[in-house]
Amino acid sequence: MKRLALLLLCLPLGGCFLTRDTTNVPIEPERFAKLEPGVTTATQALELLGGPVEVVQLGRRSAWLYEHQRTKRSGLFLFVFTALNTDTQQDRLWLFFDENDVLRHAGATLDAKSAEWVMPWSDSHE
Amino acid sequence: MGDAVVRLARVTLLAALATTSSCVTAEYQREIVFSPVSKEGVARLVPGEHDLGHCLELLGAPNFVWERRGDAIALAYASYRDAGWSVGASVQVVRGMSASFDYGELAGRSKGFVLLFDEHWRLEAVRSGYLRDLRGPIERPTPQAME
Repeated sequence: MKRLALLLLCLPLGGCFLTRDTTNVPIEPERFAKLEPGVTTATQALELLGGPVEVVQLGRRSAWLYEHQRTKRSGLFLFVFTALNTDTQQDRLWLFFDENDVLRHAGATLDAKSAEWVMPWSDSHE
Repeated sequence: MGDAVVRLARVTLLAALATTSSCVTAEYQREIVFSPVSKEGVARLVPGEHDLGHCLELLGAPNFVWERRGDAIALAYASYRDAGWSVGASVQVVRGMSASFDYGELAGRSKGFVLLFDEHWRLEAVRSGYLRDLRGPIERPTPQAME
């Protein structure tokens, strides 16, 4: 009887969830490794990577952004206490083209895979 | 023995009622948006010496690229990390953490670095702080200058 009461006590108290949101497709390092500053044109970049998510006009020059984002959310419910953690990480690739649409510089950050499902008190990306 | 069971049953009922009504809540929430850029990397940048390519190689891709007056540009690196408690009873009475993060707000609420480049994309200056404060003084091109 005691055990049954304890079980009934515990049933409504606990719960947890994990979710994942993804925006755009991941940036493939093998693809942007083929980009050659001073050689690759904007047309070739389009063929290789597809359309960018953003184009910033810099006078007669331009910068293109490719982006992939991953958000992992974890939650724990215990009676009236709720713990939530949200971790958003991103892959970004910026391409800088000159006035002749030739690639001058490229910079990449690939962090999307490092998004984690953890509790909010744990060390993460410290 | 019988009394103990009745007491336990009452506690169970109260706990169930408190949970289902959700009138009292305590929440600890943390939000991490992007990893911060390496401070050591930023410290190695030398204005007047390093160019855009060198900065991209050292720090990776920025979050924002902004156009400045006279064909100059600025790169912004930002990240956001916040954690806090919130306690409520029917209506929220204490909230230690700001509302859920929207990526569009990154420039407004996050800390980071802004790198300023001249028209030849050579590094002019490095500034740190809240992006909303750093973004303000940057001179953007006027519509006439863009024509």
